[in-house]
Amino acid sequence: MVDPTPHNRFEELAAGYVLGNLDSDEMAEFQQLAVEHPALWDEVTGLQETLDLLPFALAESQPQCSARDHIMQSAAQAASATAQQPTARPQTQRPWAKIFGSIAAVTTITLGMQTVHFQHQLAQVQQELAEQKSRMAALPSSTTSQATPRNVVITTTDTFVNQNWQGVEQILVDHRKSLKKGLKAVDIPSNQPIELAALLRAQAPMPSAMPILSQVSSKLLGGSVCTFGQSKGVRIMYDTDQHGQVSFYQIARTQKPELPQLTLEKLYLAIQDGPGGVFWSDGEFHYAIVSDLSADELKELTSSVEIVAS
Amino acid sequence: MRLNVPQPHPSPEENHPVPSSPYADAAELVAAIQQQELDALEYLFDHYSSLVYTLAYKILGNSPEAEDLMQEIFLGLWERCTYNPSRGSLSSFLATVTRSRAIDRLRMKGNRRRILSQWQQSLSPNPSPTPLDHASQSEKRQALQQALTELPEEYRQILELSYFEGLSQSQIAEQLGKPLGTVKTWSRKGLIQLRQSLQAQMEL
Repeated sequence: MVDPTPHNRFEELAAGYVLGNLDSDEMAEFQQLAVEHPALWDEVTGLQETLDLLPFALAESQPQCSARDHIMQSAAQAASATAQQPTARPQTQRPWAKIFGSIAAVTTITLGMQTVHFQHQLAQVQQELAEQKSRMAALPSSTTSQATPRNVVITTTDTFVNQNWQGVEQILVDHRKSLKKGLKAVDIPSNQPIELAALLRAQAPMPSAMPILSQVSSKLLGGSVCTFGQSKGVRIMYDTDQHGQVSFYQIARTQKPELPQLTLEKLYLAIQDGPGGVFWSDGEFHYAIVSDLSADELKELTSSVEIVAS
Repeated sequence: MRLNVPQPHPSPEENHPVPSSPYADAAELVAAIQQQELDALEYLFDHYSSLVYTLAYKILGNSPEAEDLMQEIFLGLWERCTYNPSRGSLSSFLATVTRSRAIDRLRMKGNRRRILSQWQQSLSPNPSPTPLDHASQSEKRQALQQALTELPEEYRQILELSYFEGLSQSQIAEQLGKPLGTVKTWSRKGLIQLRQSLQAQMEL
């Protein structure tokens, strides 16, 4: 059967995608074509590479010579500090430790706040972890299928969540609503995490270093700004080969919505008859990955979270 | 040799041995960065700082901020290398990161309005030639100069406004006094034509 889509239409849509000027109908057409013809992404890559050549047309400017020395000095100091750190880390590094460490490391270098910020966060994490354990101990035992310091898995019902953690319920509802929107689930379609972060950051608070799902089979669809009570954040959506669409929320911390006392330890909620999620927080943001996956599948997906310096 | 379009695999330009490079390809450079080898950061800076600084300076408009952003980008990359050679060239990655963050800074400052006339002379098809450290960058620069001369002026202008200032298509339409549909069409045609022109040259 002859492919009815002419190549120039491929090119035009890919160019519009790279330039960010597809209207909603064109975006729907693009997404449909991308599913049917994965080669469309090659077209996108090629056009993006072309666009990124434009800086080479500028008359070259050079930074001051001291800039090089400054960068090398900062890097050497950071390397030296890393080398001096004790290596007696737990052999099985916790998944969040990688994220936490990255955030702390970037903070140390770029903001020069050194260990003060880290220690502040660490104290906060320890306090919240204690609160979390206390809260978990108060839960009915039947709702706790597994409780380890590292990952907490709760199998429960939508009713329980609605009555106890309204914020969680709001996130789950938002995910369900977004699934019903189909191709218009995201307000800002993009498969470029850094571009997307820049566009979203103009409208909502975003972590200084954005976590993304780096699983190869997870394709970034784009993002939307979300508001939950007094909290504002973003929903970044991915399409996964095996598990459909996944929403990754990054919500600025406030007193409301009422979420569990989250920490960097991950809380897995398996909801009967509905999408479940994994929830955690750092000092400034709540994070949630919501999908129809089981807790084990969510764990696997969550292990692919990486930080993009955005 | 083709330009890196389209390339689902490591681009030949980035993975070809470079005479002055101690790294066989981009993947080896990334590995060295991940090993926290200071030599790798030096190499990265020496070969790509001009690209990053030039773009940052063009968008931000002043040297201290451009240097600050450049430092943030290089140290960030060295601390945590998020570049994946299989997704495109290193220069494209650095250009994307630099542009995004520079425009982000402009937006934060609410200081993104520029006078259009500034841009009409900004992308000269013949900027002052400067010796380059990197052979492939020199090749790119020459090819781009030629491609830009072949591009209709209106296409080039829209690409500049979109890329360097991050203006939306409707803002560009307003600035140029053209219908939105025309701006979209010209920008897309401009990008496609630019790519075709570059491909034709690089195949020579």
